[in-house]
Amino acid sequence: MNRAEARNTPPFARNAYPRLLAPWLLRDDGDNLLLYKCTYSELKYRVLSPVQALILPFFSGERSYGDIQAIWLHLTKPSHKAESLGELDELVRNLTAPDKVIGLTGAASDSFKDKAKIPLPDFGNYRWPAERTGVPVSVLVAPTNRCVAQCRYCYAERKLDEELTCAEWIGIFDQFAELSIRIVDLAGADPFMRADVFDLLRAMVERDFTFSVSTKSHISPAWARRLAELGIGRDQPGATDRGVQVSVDSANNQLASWLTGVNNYLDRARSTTANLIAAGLNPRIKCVLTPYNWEEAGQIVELFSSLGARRFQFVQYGRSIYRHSDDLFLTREQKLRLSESLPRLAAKRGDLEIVFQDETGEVRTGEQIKAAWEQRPICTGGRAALYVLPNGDVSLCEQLPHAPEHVVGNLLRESLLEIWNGAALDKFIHPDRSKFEGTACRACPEFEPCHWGRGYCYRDSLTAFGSVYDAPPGCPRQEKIPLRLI
Amino acid sequence: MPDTSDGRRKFLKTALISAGAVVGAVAARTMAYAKLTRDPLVREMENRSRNTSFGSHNEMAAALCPKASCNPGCDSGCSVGCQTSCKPGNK
Repeated sequence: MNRAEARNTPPFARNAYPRLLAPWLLRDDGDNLLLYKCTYSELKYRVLSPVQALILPFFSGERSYGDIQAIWLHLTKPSHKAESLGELDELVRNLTAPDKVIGLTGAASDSFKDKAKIPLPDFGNYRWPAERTGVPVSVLVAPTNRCVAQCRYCYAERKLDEELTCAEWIGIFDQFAELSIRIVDLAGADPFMRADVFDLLRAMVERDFTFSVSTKSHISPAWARRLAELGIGRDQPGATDRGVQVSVDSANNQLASWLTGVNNYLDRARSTTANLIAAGLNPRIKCVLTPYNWEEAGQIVELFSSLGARRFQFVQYGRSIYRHSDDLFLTREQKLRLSESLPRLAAKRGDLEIVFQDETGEVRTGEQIKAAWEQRPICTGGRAALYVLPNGDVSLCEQLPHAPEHVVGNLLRESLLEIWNGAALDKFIHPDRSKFEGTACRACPEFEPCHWGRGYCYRDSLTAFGSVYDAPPGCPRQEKIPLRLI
Repeated sequence: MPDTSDGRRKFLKTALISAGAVVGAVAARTMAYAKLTRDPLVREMENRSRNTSFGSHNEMAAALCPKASCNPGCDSGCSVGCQTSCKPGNK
């Protein structure tokens, strides 16, 4: 079937029963209907257009596609029915791939569990397109900045803030749950540094949050069993996604210890992984590639898959604002070789999930830079996501330093909605031109659509030029030479 | 005179079948419509969208824009600050 034929073919047979698939959820976002992927591993969401909001709530799996077509015609009352059905097909086809929002097989979305509470749009006040969501889709929380390790490549600020108590965190989690926020992921440093870590994790599970726990602590068999009891790190199709991640940077104990600053780090990570697997969990092994370990991906996969690990992630070192050293940057040659070897490794070990960052440091033409800039995704900080620091301060991104100029509120003093709709956050995502004195943004004709619409990466601007109030390195109008980021 | 009774019979039969098909189609459509309007969600959505027009092709085109789905560059683990250049956190 060629592309034109595929376009003219309905995405489903009239007697098929398509449904919104898990982990996608609908959410009544006040002035519009939101569709988002309820998983910690990636933030994907869209504020539905009125026509999408009109028809998606019917994809519960109880109506045939023929019924849905009839409902569509009944509700939209088009003058040209065939053309209108073609538009419905196109709309649905876009939701079947590549994101698999709608399909015929797989667990159904939780949005239809309670028939009396299916999220529906309020067309009386429908706001679309929307620059930001009515309530955050995702919140990152950092219960602590403490960590057992001192990794040379760590991007985190690790400022030793006062920490909220477990009861204070639970009060904050209650707010999130009341606002139907389901993606509440863990950031900061190692949550296992807190004595009450399991109380916190239990509270998060009880509120049905999706999150991942990343650790460099040694996880004993007893702790692994407690994680398993909470369903964290366990593969459960259709259930809320909760992961556990173990950092491993070398298959050589001496090098692993040097990179992390922890004696016998490799042995500890092996023991942790074995304990998690013995408890029935499926940890992800994560490795930051630097010139010290870039050739070890195969050995790490070999060593940890022999313990039963099945998921691996390799990322390249990127400049840390706080403890950078140029010798941690991969060379162009190393990047190119990784670009060949990692796909080969993934193909060879098709029994495992091996994901990696394919960044070769290729020099781009002016046209390529412009095209990449125009296609950049929006920055979700303040538009769909927030970050809560250990003391309850709220900022837009976990990679911005904890400084007054980046803080937009505190959850001990204000509610999440007050912060989300407050003046400080509004000012941050709608900055005034005067803040950009001496930068390409100051007189830029695209200032409003760029800054106020899609936004840009504050972290990249800060890391490359020392201020969030500067054009990021990817902006075609940026003329300054940036510090290398990756 | 030629005997046309056979032709008449055929004509009547065809006419009856056609009429039956039309009645059947109308009945099927009526039943389908009744089923559709019995659906409480359809009724609810009808109420909610009563004063909204969905005929705009521009709106449809925008609704289908793939950019409405965000973060294609951030599929490898970064949760916040999603840009195509977004690096997964080093930790």
